[in-house]
Amino acid sequence: MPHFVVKRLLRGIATVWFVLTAVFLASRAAGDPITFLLPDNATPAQRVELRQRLGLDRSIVEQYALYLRGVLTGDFGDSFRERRPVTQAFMERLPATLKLAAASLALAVALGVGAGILASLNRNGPLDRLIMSLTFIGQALPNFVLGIAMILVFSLLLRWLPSGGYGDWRSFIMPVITLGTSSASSIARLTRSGMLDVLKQDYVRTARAKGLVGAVIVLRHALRNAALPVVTLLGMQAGVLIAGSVIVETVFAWPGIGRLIVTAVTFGDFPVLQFAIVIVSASVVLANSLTDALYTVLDPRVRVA
Amino acid sequence: MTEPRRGAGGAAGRVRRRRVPPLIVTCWVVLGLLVALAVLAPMIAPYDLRTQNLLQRLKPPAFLGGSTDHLLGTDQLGRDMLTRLLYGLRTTLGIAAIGTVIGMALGVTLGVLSGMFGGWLDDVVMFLVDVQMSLPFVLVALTVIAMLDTSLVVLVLVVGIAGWEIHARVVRGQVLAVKGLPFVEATQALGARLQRVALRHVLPNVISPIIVLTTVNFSYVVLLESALSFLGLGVQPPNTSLGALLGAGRDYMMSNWTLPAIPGLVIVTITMVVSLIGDWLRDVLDPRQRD
Repeated sequence: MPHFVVKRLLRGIATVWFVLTAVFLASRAAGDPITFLLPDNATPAQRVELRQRLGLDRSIVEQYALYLRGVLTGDFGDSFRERRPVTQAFMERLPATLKLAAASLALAVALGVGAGILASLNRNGPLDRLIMSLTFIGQALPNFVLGIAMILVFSLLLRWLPSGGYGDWRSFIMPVITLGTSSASSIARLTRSGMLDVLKQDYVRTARAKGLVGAVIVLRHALRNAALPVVTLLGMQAGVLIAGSVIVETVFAWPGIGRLIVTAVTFGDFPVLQFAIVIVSASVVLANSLTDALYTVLDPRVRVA
Repeated sequence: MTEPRRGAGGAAGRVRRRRVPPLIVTCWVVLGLLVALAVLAPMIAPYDLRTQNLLQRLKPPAFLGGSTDHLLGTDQLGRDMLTRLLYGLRTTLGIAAIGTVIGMALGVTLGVLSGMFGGWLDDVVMFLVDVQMSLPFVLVALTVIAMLDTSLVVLVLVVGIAGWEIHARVVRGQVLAVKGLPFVEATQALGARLQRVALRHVLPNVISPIIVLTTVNFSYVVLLESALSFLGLGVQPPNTSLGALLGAGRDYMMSNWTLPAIPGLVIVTITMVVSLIGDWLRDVLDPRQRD
């Protein structure tokens, strides 16, 4: 593994550790969880008993050590609200979110790369301007507004699509578009500028002089290099999609992680929130590291450096 | 974009630099109007923010056949929507303005300190920048709100820390670049204090990028506040914001589609207008930052 990937990985681990510690300190500072866990009429004996069971009677250092041990062994405690392991509650909702995010990312890449190539080939032409205007709108349009606008048009006015819920393919259309639009716009812009940089380079001219067909030049020669910044952007989309799913799942009543997080915040369900944050930051860090690794495959220059 | 964008009528880049394109003028006018409405809200709002009238529930706006007593109709408690929209605009823009200033102040201060002193301070600041850049900020915001419970102060603080890291990074980079310039080294050799170098040589060099970043951050902060309020975790009743109005209107969109549509439209108008102004400012002030 190249040196810088290892370095990034170590940085990522430090980031996750920082998040773990910050969340631990914040949740201890937020107040006594006993008040959330027991009814108001609980006896002092019950309070003491629960406090001991949760290890809250120990010193803060001991609690921190226990907490870290729990994290490493996959024990994140029980949800206050659902009275079962948070990992269980989380895993139950994970498929819905993964399907939504994967479909959105696929849409964003297909649409973004396609539109970006088209725009770059029509540089400053009407099609380029149209695509660039659309990507501008796509980036400025907040997902919660887009989602509601689509429900108004396609569910209430035209009655084509269900306004929410997690069912057959039709229930996917609006959430996927809502979540994928801003990513598609960023990808399109970056693909366009990457292509414009590459298309004017000598090797593309050489390829053209050799008499290669336009499509071969674009796809095999130009896109491969123009795609490098897009790959970096893809790594960052992991965070964008997770943040977006919090909103989109609320708009479309989608039973996923995003909805779980919002409910946890509303009910002060700290164990769920803790777990969600740790998992999300770990996956974002992992996505970024994978992107770096992928980079070395795509760009031989990085391997040497 | 690598090439300068053309203004309306295909004016060349040089002309565009002197004359503000009509689209941007329109954006400034719209933004000015929105700010004026927000500032004047208590004076021009036709009703009191909290006045309920259950006999006048869910009335349509005047342009859809409603009465002119309630130009934008009423909500589920019979409150005047025009009044709520004006106050919501006021809250949203107010929070965004204060939050943006906090983010800028924090970021510029830490960026300057980090660049000037280097060492462990630099390491710590840059690590925090790294952490914040690698996390989806909505999650950080939700965690803070879960811990502290939501209130106007918490909300302002949360949106305030939303953009500091970009400011810090840009300013630090600029400080490092300026610090190495021969004339700055010379002034330091002549005995100028760090403070003087920071104020006289570094700040003038970072003002342009800061203005551009602040514009970008402003629309981001509007979105963040709207999103949190939309989720019911931001501005709390009886206060309202554009996002809170959108969230509340969502529950009644089956019967009254204008309840969510109008605040949604205002949010989009703000973000579009501010983004266009931001793009234009970047072209004018800081050509190097073009994407």
